[in-house]
Amino acid sequence: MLTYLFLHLNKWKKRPFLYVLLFTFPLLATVILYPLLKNTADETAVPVAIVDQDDSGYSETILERIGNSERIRFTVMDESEAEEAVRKGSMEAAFVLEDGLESALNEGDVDDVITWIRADESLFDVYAKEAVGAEVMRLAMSARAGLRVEQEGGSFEEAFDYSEQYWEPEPLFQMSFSERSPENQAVEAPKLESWQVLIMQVFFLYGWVLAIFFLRAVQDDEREGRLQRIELVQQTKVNYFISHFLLFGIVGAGSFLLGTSGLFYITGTERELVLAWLGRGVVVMAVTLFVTWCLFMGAGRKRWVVPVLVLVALASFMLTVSDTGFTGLWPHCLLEKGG
Amino acid sequence: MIEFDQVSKKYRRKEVLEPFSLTIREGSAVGIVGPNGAGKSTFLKLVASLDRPTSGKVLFDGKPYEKVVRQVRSEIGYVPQDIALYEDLTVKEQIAFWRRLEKNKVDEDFLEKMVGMLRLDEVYDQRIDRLSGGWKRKVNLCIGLMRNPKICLLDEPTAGVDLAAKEDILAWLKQLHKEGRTLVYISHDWYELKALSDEFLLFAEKKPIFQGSQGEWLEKREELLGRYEDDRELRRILEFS
Repeated sequence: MLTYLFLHLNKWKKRPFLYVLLFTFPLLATVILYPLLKNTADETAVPVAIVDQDDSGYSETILERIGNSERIRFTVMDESEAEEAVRKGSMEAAFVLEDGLESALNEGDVDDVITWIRADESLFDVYAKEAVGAEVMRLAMSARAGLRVEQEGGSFEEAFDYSEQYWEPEPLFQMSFSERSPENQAVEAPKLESWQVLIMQVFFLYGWVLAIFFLRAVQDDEREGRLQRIELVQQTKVNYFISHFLLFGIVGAGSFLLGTSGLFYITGTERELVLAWLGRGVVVMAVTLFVTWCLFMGAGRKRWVVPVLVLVALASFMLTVSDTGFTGLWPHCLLEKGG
Repeated sequence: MIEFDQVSKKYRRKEVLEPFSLTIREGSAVGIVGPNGAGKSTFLKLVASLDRPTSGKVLFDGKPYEKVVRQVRSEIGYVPQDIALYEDLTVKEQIAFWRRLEKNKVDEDFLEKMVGMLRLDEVYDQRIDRLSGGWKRKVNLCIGLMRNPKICLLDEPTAGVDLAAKEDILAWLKQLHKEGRTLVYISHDWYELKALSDEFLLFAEKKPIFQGSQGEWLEKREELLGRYEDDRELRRILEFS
């Protein structure tokens, strides 16, 4: 096999950029496109204006905590600027942290400490309203606990901090949601995001098609008489076909695995999920490539076989992604079931 | 010695060689000539064990080919009509690649001598796709014969090459024949055929219609011209001989 590997490496090294690019395209696409996708996601965060009239420790804490939310993008403005921005539509809403917020919260009073400015066109500001409200409520509860303890002769700060710890890293009392689908009544394990599965499907298609195009090297060897020469020189064609099957597998599975591993690494996917999906991906790819090779050999390695196999690969992807019902045993469908 | 006993060949339903029998003697130089589509290349592939007869038997030293196919393949060097080379590789890389694949032990002295005779060292570092047709033919010949075979099968080894390249190739083939190797080659060039062959094999109508020495050829030529006067291409071959 090494002789043939060196042969192809020798051929590829004449146009190194093209072949490296072809092989690593999914990985490069992930590395290049992921920050753009992430920026797009950032840009879809709800834009809100915050007017800090209290300018206190509590208002600073609220700003800091809201800033940690990926779904809210806030800008500090004065009240007139904020009203103008909401009116023009550049901000979904504005929240005015009223003067006296800290002293009101210390007394356990949560009424009228925040003013919510919105326009008729505002749609997504409700989420921001919930987030700001939750932070105010959190501070109010901790302050109320501190006040109560202080009245009993204890320290306000100690009680405040003691109460706060029950919110980190997540609130102590949380609603526990479990997802349920009609097919599966049980609680489901963690899943890949649907866009991650889609990208994996694209990488699978890419690896498969790349491997199919590699088959043209075998067709060329046969058409141009090199295979006959190899048969005489080696006294058999078996080694040639075994080596080229292995190289065909390396091209297809290698490109797929490289791209998918890069995707998982960059998105910080859980190890358990990575192993499960990569394992399944390798098995489905190996079976797919084996069947593809058998079809190629069975059809006599004719010239029309390559375009037909590419069409089969595209059909597998399109029918699975469009979910038209004609899925059955398509490789992409088997891959998707891994989730 | 290679014997063909009532051998025929069909591809699907199309007959390309009708049943025929003939013998290729060890150490002979057989020049094959004939019109296009007469079955010359198919015959050469049968000799090379790259194809199987539809009927009849091919014998190598009295043994059926299928029983001694490894021995046959180890003793045969085949130079196809196509330039069966990897175009992206240099001449040096090409020779190295085929040498690595070779099952037989490559005779380094023989290879060096052949490279020198064909003057391939002048283009050692050049890629095949950047060489002229003549150079490509010479590299094709070198790769086909690098195993120092006892039987050399050549399908139009000088087709489309310039005179200088043709002289190099013919000189090398003469040398091989002088050293006792069997040459079986197809050509359309009578100058080349007469210079190399001690025997002619004429193919027409899907079978060999003449096998004999140059003297026998001259005796039979008129008779063949009369028999095949309607076959324009064959008549031209006979007239030019």
